[in-house]
Amino acid sequence: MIRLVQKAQNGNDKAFLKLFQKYEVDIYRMAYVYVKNESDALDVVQEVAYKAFKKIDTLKNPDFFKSWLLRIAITCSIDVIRKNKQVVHLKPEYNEMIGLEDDDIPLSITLQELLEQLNEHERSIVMLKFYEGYSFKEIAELVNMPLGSVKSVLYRALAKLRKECKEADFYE
Amino acid sequence: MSNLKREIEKIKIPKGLHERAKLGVKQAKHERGGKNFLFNKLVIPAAACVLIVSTLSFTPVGAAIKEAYDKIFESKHIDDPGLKAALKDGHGQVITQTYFDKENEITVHFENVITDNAETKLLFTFESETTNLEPYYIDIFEGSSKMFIVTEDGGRKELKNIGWGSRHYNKEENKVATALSFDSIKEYEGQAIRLEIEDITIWNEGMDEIKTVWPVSFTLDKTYITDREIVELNKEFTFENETYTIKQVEYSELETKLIIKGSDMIYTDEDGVQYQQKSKLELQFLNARQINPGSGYTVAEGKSGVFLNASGERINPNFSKGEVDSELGTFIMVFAPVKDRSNLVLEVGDDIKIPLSK
Repeated sequence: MIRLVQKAQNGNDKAFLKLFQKYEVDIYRMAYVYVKNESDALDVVQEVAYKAFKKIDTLKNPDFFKSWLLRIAITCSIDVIRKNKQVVHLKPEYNEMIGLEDDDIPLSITLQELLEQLNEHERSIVMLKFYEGYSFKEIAELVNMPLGSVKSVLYRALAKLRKECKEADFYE
Repeated sequence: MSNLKREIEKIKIPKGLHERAKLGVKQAKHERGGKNFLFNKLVIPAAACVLIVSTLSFTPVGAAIKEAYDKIFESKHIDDPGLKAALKDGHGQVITQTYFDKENEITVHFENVITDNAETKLLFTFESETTNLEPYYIDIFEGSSKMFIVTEDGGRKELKNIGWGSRHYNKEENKVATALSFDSIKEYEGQAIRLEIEDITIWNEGMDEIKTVWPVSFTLDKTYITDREIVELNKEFTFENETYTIKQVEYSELETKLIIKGSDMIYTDEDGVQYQQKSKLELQFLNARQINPGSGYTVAEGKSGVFLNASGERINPNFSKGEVDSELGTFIMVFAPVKDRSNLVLEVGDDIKIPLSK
């Protein structure tokens, strides 16, 4: 991987794309959790590829390539959300995006709940912790927040999700 | 929470995903052209030269007491300047005990313990001929590992982490050097105690753990315990249009700690819940931080930051003490220890200088 990063830093776009391809699914899902629709999430992926290739010479340590990409993805996603603030979605597209093959759903928390109940900070921290498996220390670096706050946001997000579950159980 | 991961995996991946990545790269390539790449090729060897020079310039000071424990703890691989200074000054109680963890085939060498009335440092290394220790951590900060003290009467109490401590992995020797930082054990001075490290944290594509206990027994010698001096200050200054108050300064043989309150340290979200946020001062402090994979944090030379100046001598930040728990709206800034406390100045960037005398 180090060699590929070096090649990419020397301007080799094929090396860069090979590296990027390894993480593009993660970047897409991270973006989707923020922007909640396919079109914007794809825009984010394109923007991340654009910015990352343009700035790859600033990446000092190839080991941090994935974290570096995710940090760019978070920034780009927030930009898209800010631009879209005035737009009102009558029907959230993610209802259609979530697979219908839900046979195995004795699941307590659904993707829909995750997207609907949590604010953007909470969604990204839940993503980084439970999907990417990052430590609190790494997440604090990624989202540029104090570690204590990252923990607070995550616990609050989980409390919200648990509360939703309890309420759903009650009405069943 | 693995179900959360499964839920996120339900986000369908559109077919044109990689094509969009290609489009982004194409656009960047078009804008970037060839000139920058040539420039970068010239810059990389220059940077490598600087690295070699600074490595050769590093000469640890020798002292007889050091021979008693692993020199790694005084080396550039350990990112705690306070610990290194304390060791160079001969503080700490040498332990030199070895424990063999048969089940995991790991040999643990306990080296040294230092405590004052605020924290304890436990220095040890562990190695193995059969197990790859690269992902093995004794992480009492956020991992599964825990630290306990057992007293003569059989009482067992957990000791909480302070900061995240220091760790270095030597791939050639498959050996980990760890300086754990946790609650003070000063109250046990003169007593026979046992410290127990419980469970190994595995950081490898997420977190895992291995159940074990690594014990070390000794009598805590009071002569190695250092004292802490607290000076109330309440001194105000302004940085980038924000107001900060240095509430107090704590001096010890392990660190110099500044307790600071500021006008931009609290973030309130849309639900009205308040969180600590990184202030402009903290970002300035972190600006001089350099991340060294496998060895934690050091000062990035030449970069603007926040430093102490003790009669002309620069005192570096202790970045391994980042994220020390503090009350909401307070930032704890930790530096290496200072000997001359009479003429200490806090320097923020190039222009702001605040004397830390009353």
